[in-house]
Amino acid sequence: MEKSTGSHDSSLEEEREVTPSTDVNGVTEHHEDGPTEQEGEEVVLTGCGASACCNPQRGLYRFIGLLFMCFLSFGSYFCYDTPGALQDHIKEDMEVNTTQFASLYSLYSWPNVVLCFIGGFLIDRIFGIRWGTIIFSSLVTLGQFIYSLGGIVDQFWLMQFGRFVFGIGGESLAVAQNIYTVSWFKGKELNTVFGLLLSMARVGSTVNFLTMIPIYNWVNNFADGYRTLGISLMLAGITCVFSLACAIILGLLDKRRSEVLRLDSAKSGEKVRLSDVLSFPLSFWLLSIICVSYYVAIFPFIGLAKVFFMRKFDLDDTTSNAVSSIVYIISAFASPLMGFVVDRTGRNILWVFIAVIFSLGCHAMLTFTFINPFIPMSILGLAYSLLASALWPMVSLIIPEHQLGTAYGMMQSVQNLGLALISMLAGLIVDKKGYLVLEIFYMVWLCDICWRHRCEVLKQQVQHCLKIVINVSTVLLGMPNQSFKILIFNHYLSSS
Amino acid sequence: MLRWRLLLMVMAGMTTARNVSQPDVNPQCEGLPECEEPWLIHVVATGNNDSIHHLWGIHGAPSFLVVTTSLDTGLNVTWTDFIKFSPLSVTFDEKPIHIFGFSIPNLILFDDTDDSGTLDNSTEPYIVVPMTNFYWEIKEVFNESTRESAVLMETTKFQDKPLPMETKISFQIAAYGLEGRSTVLPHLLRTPNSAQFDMVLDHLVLNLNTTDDEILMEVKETTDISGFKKARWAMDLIIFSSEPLNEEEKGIEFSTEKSLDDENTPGVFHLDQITTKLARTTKQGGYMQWRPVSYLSSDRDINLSTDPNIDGNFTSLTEISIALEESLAYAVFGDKLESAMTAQTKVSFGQKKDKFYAAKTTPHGLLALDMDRHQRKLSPRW
Repeated sequence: MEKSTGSHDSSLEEEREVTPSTDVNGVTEHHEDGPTEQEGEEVVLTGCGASACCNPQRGLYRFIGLLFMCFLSFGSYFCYDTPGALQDHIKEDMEVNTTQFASLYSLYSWPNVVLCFIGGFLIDRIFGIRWGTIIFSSLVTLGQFIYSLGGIVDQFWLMQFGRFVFGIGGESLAVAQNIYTVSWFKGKELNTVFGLLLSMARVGSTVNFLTMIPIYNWVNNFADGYRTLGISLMLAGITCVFSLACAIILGLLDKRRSEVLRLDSAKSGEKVRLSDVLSFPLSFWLLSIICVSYYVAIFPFIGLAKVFFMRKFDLDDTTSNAVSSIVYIISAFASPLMGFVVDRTGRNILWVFIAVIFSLGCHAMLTFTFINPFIPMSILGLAYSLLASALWPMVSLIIPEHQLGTAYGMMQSVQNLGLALISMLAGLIVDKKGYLVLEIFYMVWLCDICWRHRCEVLKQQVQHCLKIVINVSTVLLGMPNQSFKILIFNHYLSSS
Repeated sequence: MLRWRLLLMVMAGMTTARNVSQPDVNPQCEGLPECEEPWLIHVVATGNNDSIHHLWGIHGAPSFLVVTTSLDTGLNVTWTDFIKFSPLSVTFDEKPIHIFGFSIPNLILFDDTDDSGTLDNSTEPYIVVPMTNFYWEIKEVFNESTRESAVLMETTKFQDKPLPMETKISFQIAAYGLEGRSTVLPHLLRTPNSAQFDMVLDHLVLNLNTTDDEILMEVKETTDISGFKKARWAMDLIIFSSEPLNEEEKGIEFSTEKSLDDENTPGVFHLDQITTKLARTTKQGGYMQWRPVSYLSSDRDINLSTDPNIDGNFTSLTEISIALEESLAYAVFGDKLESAMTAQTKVSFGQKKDKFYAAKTTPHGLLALDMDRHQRKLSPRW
């Protein structure tokens, strides 16, 4: 999950399908998707139903729906990082080591290795958007309560099972949220809404890191040990219940909207054909590797960061959680801004490269210095926002539209597979070799991106410089032949 | 169990390799019934220019000394005086160049009502358990090469009553002739001038409030020790050195350093040490070094660990207790121990929310202390 915000960033696919976007060379593309209107008599609303807040034809109704959409995944994002916020307490109360603790993250990712492909299919063909959202939200809620019950009864395997169930619902819920968003805001404020949803996801994660320790300390006044842990997680699950309520209400609003506006039920529009995978170019697979290589240096790191900050930087648990949350809170504000910058300038590859370099520098600062960790984590938040804004749209620039569903599904599947494996490996490294080796492990993954990127970045920069040289020489040397310039440019491209 | 590993080290010129003798238990002791029980263990690490005598005494207050002498200087023990706890009953052919060591006169059981893990002057209640109450035996002697010698000692009785099988204090002490790193956590660095000390408090559940014969509690699960519901163990620690003491200067000091590298001790970035004045100024002298971690399980998992907390405000030794009077330290220093360069402090084991010593089914505690000056040079700080 790019709860891992991968799902939310994949919403950029839908964004591109309905709004103009730019590729690295500034070529725009337009696509259309979303619910279709049915022919028939216009529905006339009277009385309360015609009021602005109850009339789907009015803007206020859309924004009321937006409010519930924003909180649809709030519980999921809040509870996803509860292991990270309570890492030391989970290890103490449940008497598990770091490797076992890390399984709470990897078990979330394992079901999504497969579900990334079929989430849209389940919504389109089996459940429908409304029931699908409610079902997935229910799975998230159920998973969180099983997970917390495992704490209450001191059974770690039950906690692991709960995280697995939670994972089944989490990613698919994000897909459902995207579908709702496209359905309601296509052709209107879609870009802004996607940015807002992404920010809300980050807010959910941030609030988790800032509130779980105070909740745990409060519960500790009347409980002890694993019971304190379980009750704290149960209280965190209230956010999932809240999100479930939002899903139900949103379903009712959507139903009314469909009836009044005479719309078909929203669909994901994804067409997933596994056979398409065989035709994906090498650049797509490189993108997938880059994606997983970057995110394994972010999410497993944040999951284990709290104890690292406590031990190395002598921070208390509340401050450590605050440092861990910095990445998310900065991303909440920076993601829309970074998206705007990338949209305006293009050069996605270069921005990805810059983001990776900065992330590498942040990990180096955390590893080889005692600089206040707020600083590198803040920079990491900016780099993370930049990468997300630049990386995911690149898929749509190299994959044909009719294969995008499969492509994004594959990319997220690879991401989740990497997170599942690396999360557990990271825990093992901490137990056996400590945090210095773990940080170097993350930097190796980031260096791998740089290595793979070097040719693309160099090629991009050479192309850019070549264009400048050609234009200047044309002016200075009076070379009027446009075709000559194109010939030189294409020759370079073919030889590189 | 509570396990603490310490490295005891004295600087003695260049750290060239040394040949380490096998442990000699009760050297030169003959014809006395006391020779049957362990009083003194002697190991000699012979270098090119000098010899280091490792003296480990477990009678009275267990004492561990590192004595630097000129080459071929021998140890002399007047056993008839030694077993009567007479001063200066342990001497050398020539006056030693340098002596450095420490003693543990008492264990302290205290009720950590505020769950701080530390023992200070305001902590009450507490019970002082003199180490003279324990009887020891040598469980194992390790001497498979001329570069390393080690001894494992364990308690067998408390106040003349046998301890249950799972209840014991154990000391493992090793002397080394080569530079290297310990193979067990916390993987402390060692040199030919160092000795490594590993202390384990294993299932030490003692009913100290009773006056009848049922002192020892043979229980597997317990929530308190001797009526203390939040019981923790601590110990008195006395460090001494033969260096001249200038009253205006601090003799023995405690310091802590932070390291970027936790590879050898996962999750532990700090390094604590106690140094003498000579060690700080000329890099000659004695010091102790350890990673501030006490493992709570035999597999030394950092996830099951707690903190050893040392009171860094040292005071000089002003009175020689009975336990100290019966110790090897007194036999070597005599009454000069009071006026020598000394420091006494307390070390407690525990941290907030670690469920205290008597936790769940298996109270475990592990302490690791290592004393080695060379660790600072050989472990780059990046």
